[in-house]
Amino acid sequence: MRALLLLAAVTCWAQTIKTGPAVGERIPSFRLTDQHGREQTLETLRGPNGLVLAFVRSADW
Amino acid sequence: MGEKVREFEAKGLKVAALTYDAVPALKHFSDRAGITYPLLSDAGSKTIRAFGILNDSIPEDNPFHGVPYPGTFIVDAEGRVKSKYFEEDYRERVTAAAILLKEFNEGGRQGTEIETPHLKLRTSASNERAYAGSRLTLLLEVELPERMHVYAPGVMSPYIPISWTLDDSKAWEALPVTLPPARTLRMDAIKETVPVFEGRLKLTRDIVVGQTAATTPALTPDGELSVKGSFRYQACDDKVCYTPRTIPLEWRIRVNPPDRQRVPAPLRGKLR
Repeated sequence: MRALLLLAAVTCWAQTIKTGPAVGERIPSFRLTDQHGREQTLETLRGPNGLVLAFVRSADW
Repeated sequence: MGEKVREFEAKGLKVAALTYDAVPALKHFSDRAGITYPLLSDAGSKTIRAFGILNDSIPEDNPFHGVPYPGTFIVDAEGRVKSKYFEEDYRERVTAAAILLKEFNEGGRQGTEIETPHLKLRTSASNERAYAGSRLTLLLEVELPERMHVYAPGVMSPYIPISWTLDDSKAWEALPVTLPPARTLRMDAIKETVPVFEGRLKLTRDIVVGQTAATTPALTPDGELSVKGSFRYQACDDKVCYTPRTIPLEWRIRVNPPDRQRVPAPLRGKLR
């Protein structure tokens, strides 16, 4: 909770956020390791209709 | 998110989350929280940067430098963005439920907009977090296009007035709705006057969150109270009345105390 308050103090005056690739654009390719040590890419992660990819601040706080 | 994974998968979508935490921290969190979907370790924030969503308002010497502006992309099988959901306010969280709503029009959740053929609804609440016994205000905003109106309570039959109901629950006590004053519309053709609402209107109602014994059994796995209800209306314009609709609504209020558990010290922090 304290961590979130500190982040709040840093970002509370940020006016514009950045939201990355626009609708219709392709996302950048990536190759990342998941919590079980498996390498993952869009191809390994996606279902038949695609992928819901959530960018989260932290799993720790 | 976890309980919504199955709903996404039913639509042919898989789910993954990405953070700047190192794998051991993600593993710890995943085990503790019972996460069933992949958590991707973007230690060093390389992918966050590649996506162009690094939160650059945080200075480099700050421990939180490297976090993204939080948000969610829904991409198709080729990696093209179909839709995206980003929070403008760090305090808000676009929940998986809200994404399901926008993508698949399922129900209405807090802080979301719902559009029907006749009007727009927006739900929100005075607090995102509340404690046992506290009173908070639920907000329901209605926006009608030009020439469209809905009827106020007290209108005579067969017109159907708006009504905002909340489910009965031991976990909260619902107080009456507060409405703005209605406008009197004169219908010359039938020589009647009816009370209506037009344009934008804001409805509020307070709820009192129950005591812990009452709320705990009603919490979602995320520790939120799901306050469900519905909004019923009959919309008419200057030519025709449309079929009455009932729109399911939901407000989510966090009632649990904050989770203060951290990953063990040796696993904390990120690799640079």
